[in-house]
Amino acid sequence: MSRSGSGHHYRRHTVSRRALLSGSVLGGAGLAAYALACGESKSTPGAATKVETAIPQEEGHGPGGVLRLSATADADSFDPHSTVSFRGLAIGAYVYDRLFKFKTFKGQVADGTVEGNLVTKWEQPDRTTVVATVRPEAKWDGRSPTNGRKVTAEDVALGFEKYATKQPRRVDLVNAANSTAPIASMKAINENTVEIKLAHPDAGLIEKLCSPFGYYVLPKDAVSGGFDPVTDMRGSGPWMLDGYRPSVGWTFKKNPNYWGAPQSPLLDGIELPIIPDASQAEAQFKAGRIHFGGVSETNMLSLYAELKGQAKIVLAPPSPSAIVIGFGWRPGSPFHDVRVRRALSMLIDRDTVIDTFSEPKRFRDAGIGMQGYWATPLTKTFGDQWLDPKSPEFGPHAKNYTHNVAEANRLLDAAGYAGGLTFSYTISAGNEFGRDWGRRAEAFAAMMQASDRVKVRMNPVDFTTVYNKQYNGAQGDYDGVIMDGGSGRSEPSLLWIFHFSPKGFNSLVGGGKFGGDRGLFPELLALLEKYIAEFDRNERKKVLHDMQRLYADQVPAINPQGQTEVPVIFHQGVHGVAEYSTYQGIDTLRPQELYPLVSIDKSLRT
Amino acid sequence: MQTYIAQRLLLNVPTVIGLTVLVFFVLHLVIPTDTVDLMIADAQAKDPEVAQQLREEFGLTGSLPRQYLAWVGGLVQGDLGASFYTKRSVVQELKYRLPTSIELGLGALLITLVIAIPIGIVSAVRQDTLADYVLRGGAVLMDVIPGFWLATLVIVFGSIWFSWAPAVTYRSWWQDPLEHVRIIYLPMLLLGLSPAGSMVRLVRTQVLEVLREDYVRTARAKGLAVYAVYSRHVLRNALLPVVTLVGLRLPGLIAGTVIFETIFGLPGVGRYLLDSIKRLDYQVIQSTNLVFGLILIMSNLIVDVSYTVLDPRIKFR
Repeated sequence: MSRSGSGHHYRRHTVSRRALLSGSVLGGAGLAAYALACGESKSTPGAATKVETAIPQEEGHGPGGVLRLSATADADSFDPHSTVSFRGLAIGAYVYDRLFKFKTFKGQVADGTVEGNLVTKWEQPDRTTVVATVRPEAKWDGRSPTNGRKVTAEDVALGFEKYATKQPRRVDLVNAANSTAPIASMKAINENTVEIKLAHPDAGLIEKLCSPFGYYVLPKDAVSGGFDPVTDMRGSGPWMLDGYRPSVGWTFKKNPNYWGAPQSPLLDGIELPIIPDASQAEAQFKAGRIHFGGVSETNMLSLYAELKGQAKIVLAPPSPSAIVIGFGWRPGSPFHDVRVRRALSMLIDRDTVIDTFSEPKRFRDAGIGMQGYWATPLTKTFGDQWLDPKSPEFGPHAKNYTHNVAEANRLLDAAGYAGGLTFSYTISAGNEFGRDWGRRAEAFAAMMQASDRVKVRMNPVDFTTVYNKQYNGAQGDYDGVIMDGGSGRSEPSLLWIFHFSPKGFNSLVGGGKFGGDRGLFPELLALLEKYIAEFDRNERKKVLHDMQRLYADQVPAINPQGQTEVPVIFHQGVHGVAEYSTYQGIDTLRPQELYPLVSIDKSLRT
Repeated sequence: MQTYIAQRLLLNVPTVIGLTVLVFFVLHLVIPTDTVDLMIADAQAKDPEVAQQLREEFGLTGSLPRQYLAWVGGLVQGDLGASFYTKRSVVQELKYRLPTSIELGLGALLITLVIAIPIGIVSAVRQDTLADYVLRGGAVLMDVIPGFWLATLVIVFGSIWFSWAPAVTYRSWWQDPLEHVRIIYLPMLLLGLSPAGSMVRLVRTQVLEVLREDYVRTARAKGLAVYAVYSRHVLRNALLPVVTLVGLRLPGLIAGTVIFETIFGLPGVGRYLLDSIKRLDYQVIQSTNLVFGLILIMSNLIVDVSYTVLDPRIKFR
């Protein structure tokens, strides 16, 4: 897998996840802070808010109609507690609630504020305990075996037990699976109250529980055998699975038992046909059979011009994922010398990368104000948590992101490589990370070879049989460099842990045989640990900024990518996409955060 | 004939056994990774405990011969296994998908024959005329243009010039016959066009050969109508190699429609197999390949048997 134009997101999936991770709404993102019950935060634990839903009455649109989207691949399973595929989680997000979610805003940019979803209020009596109240009006699907009964704390707790033993992605949340993960247990104290015990303080817990890769709540019948969650769905979310045909697609209809009813969802349903072929998807959009998405960035502007006002383009936040070039850490590796790492980082012309692969100028010329940003490895989608290397605030280490061949040569000479530095550059040869993966790798290699000291040997390998076995999770036990996609995590510490903690799945900072428990960059790890445990919002931001500065100085890996906002096209008669702002605009967030607020013109209803 | 068929079927048993051995052991021995490794990597997790659980659940922890025997034991009982990912049984999926692939393959073959036979005959009859050159040129063009490329062009230019797009949400005959035809006619047509090129040339060559035979000259000399000469004497002899080709092509058409299934969103076996290969879904790959192998064996047998119907000179001993 799921998978494609500009490559804003890179993570291995059978489906190209870039399309899935492209956002839908104009907006940025900001810090989502979780605070103790008495803390100062945008997301003070307390009552969850119902999102305003202004039901549009003018111009022939309003409640009703079916929104038609498209998917690029099938899902392996509908069970978010065991599915390994991103698409499986994306489908689950239509039907199943998370405990918390990122707040959707109208008329202002989403800033990562969290709110209760299945939870109405929560408190933190101490730094390792969270007590949450399950929404009393939340009910399960009206069909057997759930029969519309109330969602209870027992559902939450039982489901988490299964998730904690079955779901490979549990490593983000479950401490028993990964010592960096926060949750030790999740128990039902009474019918409506859940107690979450943490193995260590984690100020980002609630954001982690908002994550589309995190924990979805299923009824206890899914555990007890009342229905098979792999092939069927009974949720409490805004949509119910109405039909599924393998390789053909899904239909969802409005869940009358949804706790947000009757204000939302506005639509009667959503159709999600599977259209693996890109040209087919674009033809379907042009013919009006798909209302939203499915068009590559390369062709988006020409299609937009052809449709002459029948379509709109909005800019969604950049993907949270950023390409990363990781170094091999074997003894004798040239990359143990920080001067070599800094030099290679300076050889990458990030602005040219943006201009070449995302072509923001074309969009600006068409009146769509797309801008480019450098990844640090956070991306701009993290709002004020991301520190712009082009800003004076970043400090002197920003020079390691600036394109400077002469300085790179000087560093390489000082490191003893005046006679030349040769290394292999390993990439996955297929489309797992996106269709233009190979082109990007070649561009980065060519940029590095702008220095006459550097010689790169491209090493494309098969993902399934070679890359996954020998490079994924190898902690630097390879020669040369590798190019990997980002983790796509929506919470900063998860993103950092993935690549930049020695315990991360794909640690690029050593660990194990290189650097032991603290890895090769213990200062960076110490800051990460400080960030995780820091509950004061302003202090958290400062620590995260310091991490980015230290990262820029030490260059444990290279983030060569420049990113832009992600353009998304939709038909004129679709309302809500431009009006509402969702955090990070990730595809898996849309079914809950955006689609319940979307309406369509009568002209688009068939 | 029954004896012949029974003998052929018995002779194919070692072939089938060999096929199961080949498919199973190549998959498990040659590819240096497995389903579980892919699943864990796909989930972006390093989780040995879950990996071990999954291996036990999928029966991947015993020795390879043991796993092979477990699979074959299921086959003998009609159980082709289930997908590690979707948990749906292979039998269930094949029942769902084979009709689409067979329909697409057979329909494409029919279109190939409907195009190729008349054109081949006309081209042969009008040998070395302008019509012959044009038709042969067209046949070469059909042969060299990949069908999937043509399909993409049809969709792209259909969209650009006419704002048209083919129907993409598959409906079966039973759900909506009209919509079904609307969905399937284009991939069937495009899939049938490409092989028509080589078929035209084969038909032309065979017809030319038969036209020069004495019995055809005799039939003409007897005063038989042109139609009678062609239908009773020429075609029946000229089309024998075509029957062979059709029989050999059919399994390939059923198994090889993956690109068209992907472009047109059809739920066929090709896509099923391709998705399974990408994620090393062992049971699906093994069982589906076995089914294709059996289809190939049966179609060869049917072709051989059909020869005795078409050519009375051929008898079984």
